[in-house]
Amino acid sequence: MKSTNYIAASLLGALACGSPAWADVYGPFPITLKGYDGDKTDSTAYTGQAARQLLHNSLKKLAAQGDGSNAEAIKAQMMMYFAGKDEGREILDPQSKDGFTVAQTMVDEISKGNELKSKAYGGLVNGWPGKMTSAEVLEFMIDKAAATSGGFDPLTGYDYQQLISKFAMGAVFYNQGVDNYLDEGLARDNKPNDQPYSEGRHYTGKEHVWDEAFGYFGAPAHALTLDAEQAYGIAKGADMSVADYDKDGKVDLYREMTYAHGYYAADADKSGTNYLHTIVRAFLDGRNLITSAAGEALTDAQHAELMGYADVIKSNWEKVIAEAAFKYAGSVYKDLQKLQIIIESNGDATEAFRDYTKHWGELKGFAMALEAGGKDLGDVGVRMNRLIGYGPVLLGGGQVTGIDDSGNYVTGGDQDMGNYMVHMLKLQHLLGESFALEGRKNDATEEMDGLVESLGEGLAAEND
Amino acid sequence: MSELAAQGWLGDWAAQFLDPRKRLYWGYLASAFLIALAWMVLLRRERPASAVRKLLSRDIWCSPSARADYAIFLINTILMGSIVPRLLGHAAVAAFCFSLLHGLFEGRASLLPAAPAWAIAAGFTLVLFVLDDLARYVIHRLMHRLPVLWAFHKVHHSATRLNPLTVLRTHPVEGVLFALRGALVQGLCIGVFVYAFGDRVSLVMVLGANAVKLVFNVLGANLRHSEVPIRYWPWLEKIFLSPAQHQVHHSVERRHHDRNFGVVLSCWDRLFGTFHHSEPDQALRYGLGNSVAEPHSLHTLYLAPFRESAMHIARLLVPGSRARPRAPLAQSDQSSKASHSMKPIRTLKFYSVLAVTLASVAAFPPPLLAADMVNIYSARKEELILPLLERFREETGIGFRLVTGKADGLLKRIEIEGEATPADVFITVDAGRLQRAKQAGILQPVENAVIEERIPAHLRDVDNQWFGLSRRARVIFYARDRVDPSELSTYEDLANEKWRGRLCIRSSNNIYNQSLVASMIAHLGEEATEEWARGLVANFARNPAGGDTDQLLALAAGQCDITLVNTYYFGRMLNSSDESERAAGEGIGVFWPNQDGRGAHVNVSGAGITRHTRHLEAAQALLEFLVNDESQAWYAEVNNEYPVVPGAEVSDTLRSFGEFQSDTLNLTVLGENNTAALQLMDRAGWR
Repeated sequence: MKSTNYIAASLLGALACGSPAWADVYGPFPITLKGYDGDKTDSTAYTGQAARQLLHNSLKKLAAQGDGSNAEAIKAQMMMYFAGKDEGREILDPQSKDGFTVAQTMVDEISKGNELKSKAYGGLVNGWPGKMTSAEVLEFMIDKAAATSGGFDPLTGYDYQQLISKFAMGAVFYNQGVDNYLDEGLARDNKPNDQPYSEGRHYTGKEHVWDEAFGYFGAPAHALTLDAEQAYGIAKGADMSVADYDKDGKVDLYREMTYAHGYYAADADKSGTNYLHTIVRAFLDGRNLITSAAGEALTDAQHAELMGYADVIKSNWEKVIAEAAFKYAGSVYKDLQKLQIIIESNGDATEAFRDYTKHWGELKGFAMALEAGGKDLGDVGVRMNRLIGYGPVLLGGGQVTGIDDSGNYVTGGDQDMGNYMVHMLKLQHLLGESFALEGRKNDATEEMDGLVESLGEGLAAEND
Repeated sequence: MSELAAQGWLGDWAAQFLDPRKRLYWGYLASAFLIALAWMVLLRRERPASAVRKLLSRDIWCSPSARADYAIFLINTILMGSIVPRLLGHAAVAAFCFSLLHGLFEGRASLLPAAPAWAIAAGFTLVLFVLDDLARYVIHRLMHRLPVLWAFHKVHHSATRLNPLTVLRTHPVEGVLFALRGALVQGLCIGVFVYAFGDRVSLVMVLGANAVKLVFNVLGANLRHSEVPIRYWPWLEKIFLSPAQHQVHHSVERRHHDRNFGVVLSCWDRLFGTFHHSEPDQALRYGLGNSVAEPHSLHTLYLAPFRESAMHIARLLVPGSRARPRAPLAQSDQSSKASHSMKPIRTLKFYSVLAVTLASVAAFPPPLLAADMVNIYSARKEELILPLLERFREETGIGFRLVTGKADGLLKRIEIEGEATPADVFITVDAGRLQRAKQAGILQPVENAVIEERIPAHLRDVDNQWFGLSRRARVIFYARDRVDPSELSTYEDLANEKWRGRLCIRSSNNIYNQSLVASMIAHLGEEATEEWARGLVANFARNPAGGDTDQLLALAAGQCDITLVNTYYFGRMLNSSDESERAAGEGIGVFWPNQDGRGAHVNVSGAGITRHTRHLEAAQALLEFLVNDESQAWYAEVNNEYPVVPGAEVSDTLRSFGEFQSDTLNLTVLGENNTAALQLMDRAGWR
């Protein structure tokens, strides 16, 4: 029996390697589990993660649907996607539209009984007032968002749609990926490769651990066949032809969609970095390595190699989030500059303030996500949180400084808009240096670097 | 490692000749050679072959001095390669200045938004060049002036034969100082320009090099360190230093010492008294004189300066110490340069502007719906309003929440918060701003007999959407020692040409000036006011800058003789804890204009009740409280202002200004005429 499976695995492996197209696609992978006698032929499985990606997308959609009078109803719906396990949840995003047909309309079509809440990072969230865990923060935000009109609170400048989405991506997907599956999940004696993941499963422990991490990252299985623009465009529903890899006329939301961090990796890569391919390549190489173990426990050498791939994924995943925070810090800086001009000229600041708070929500969500990876960022985390504060600086000055016993925000402080611009400059510097960022979109001091470069002051001690 | 390092060094050495940003780029060397050849053949009537032989003479290029130049070039490139990256860099200085400016000017400036990028680039390139050239002059002069530095700079002057590579005959310590100089000056330029002009800033480049430097280099910069004494016409040498002038700088002759420190421009030398024309047929001897034993040995060039410098430091630290530099380069003709007296160098002064800090904001839970509560958004600082609000709470039992912030930002904030705003009362300064709040639709009309009875009609909105709480007059202040008050009469008279170059005033961006002009429009009509504004602008002693206090200080400092300032600024000055400010105030007199006519222009700080208030009664109670006699006296006194309620007590300081008749124009007009006033000031050239 063992040898039969081994031969089957080898044959499938050889077949996979012989076909250039499939060599760059994450799955299907052969069954390697020893003793498996069922009729499954593909050991790849990350449906639960894909379902959670859809729960997140739908939650984000709902976060903006309050109108100020339907708080209870909206909150109940949001909680259904955040903490519920009920069947019958519709996929609110993505949905089919002209020129872009998706294969599933209900979350259950991919996987049943999944939720986000229990998977959220269990540590305290330093970047948000109230000393709460990430699940508590998300529930708190959901409660507040439901009471707003369009997910936006003009009194605090909170854009809950952005805050909830970006932080949930970090607290659930990033945390589960790097702190659970690519960390404890890879321990030698945890979920070993010579055992099924759990009783009755057709895949081994390590195979599934690896697949789950991949599912949380959010890249389409064929990401390596796409360039950054194409991978990014899939999430926007832009080009059906590049999304529909198996050419069945529909975009499979399990395997062919770009989600969450996969989307932000592609976004960064549009400007020249290579995070998406680096991460997906490491996932694919790691999965091929596990497959090549053919259902045996990993050797020391194989385990060490696998940990190497995990490190590549973890460090680049972190950079993807840090690049996004860097980009939005730059946006916030530019928005403040614009607001300053509008205020001085007594113009209409409504739209500019809305843009500013949206970008701030994204910045804050990503910054909080960086701390949800289970890794202690030390003074970088402290400095980052102090520079951003708990809320965007409001027109005229001041920002949210805390939450009182009744759960109401407390605003105050002496932060003004000009000084907050300096905070954004310092934040970009901090992120750029601490995470060795290369993309650096919206770099507020980019022009200066260019000028320094053009001066070409060099090594010569030239006299006068 | 050694092979890799050697490859790196080779690249660094080669870069000096292959990079157009470097002085020794082969193209510049070639142009220098051709210029020298042409000069010798065409002007000196030498035969080409002879000229070439002279230019490439072994006596120069293979001299011990030149061989030391080559060795220093090779060694320094390696040394500086490991030192420079560890020094304070341009980027760090630029980022520091860039950030600092945000704090000083409260955010980001966008100057000359209509100016094209090419003009900004040209301006940047030019300013960078001039500042860099000046900084080079200053540092160079210090190198000669201070014995501690001269010990290192001597290495450069120890060259006895000059060739283009002599430019790199520099001690590494001096190299470090040059690198820091470049980082500071260029970093400052970059930081300031990018702050003010954003992505329109670039360096004008030709062939990948700074265009100005390229021109300098193509025109024979390398001949400065050569023995080809090319001179310019005397008038041109007064603008640009000729190669022969720099050769004079290297001359051993005592009369040439401490001359021509500049690089490109000779204006610095002329300005600071170190200029020296080149001399016809000058045949100069270079170096440090005969006393130097082995001027070209590496030991002398690299180590001796440390010892000599240490001796100088020891002498400084222990006065009377007998320690004397004994290094080979120590006692020379040139060393006397270090003891030459030097006029004080005017260094750049960086002015600090105090950033206005927002007052702290009290705790603010949103659902403040309790009936006995009023929420105030105030553009006045906390200390100027809080004691009064506490008194209000004591007397009425109505609580309050106070948010303080910048006037224009708070107004926008209430607009954006819309129906959700917790603000019940908005307090701000200037009728123009109060009118903006009314126009933005964030206030509501209030029918309240007490308030209407106490506040004169002209000091509140015609629709009772806002009410003045304190008055300030914008009047004439003059220097007691230079102006006889009998010369003063009206605002209109300030346009009289007798005040030409004697008036200080802040910019037209300022709402106080806008409101004054708005009142003039109401009284004189737009045409006459514009003519007046033109006359006023013609009388400016300087471009408008700073706040009202700065105008008073400028007056005290003698920069102008008269100014227009709000009365409370003068009150603050007289009550300042800073003795020098109080002293400055003593030399200033206040003059009430238009006393035989409409009276002095007054404006108000004021308040209105917001359109979406949920505490209308409490808000009205607060306004009533603010206009009772006691509140009026206190509020006016802490702000150095006049009460709006007739008969309320005036502070001693203000009483000392004397009685005056004020303009009773309804202040609503100031807001209504605001746009016209702004356009008019712009047309009149009031910046």
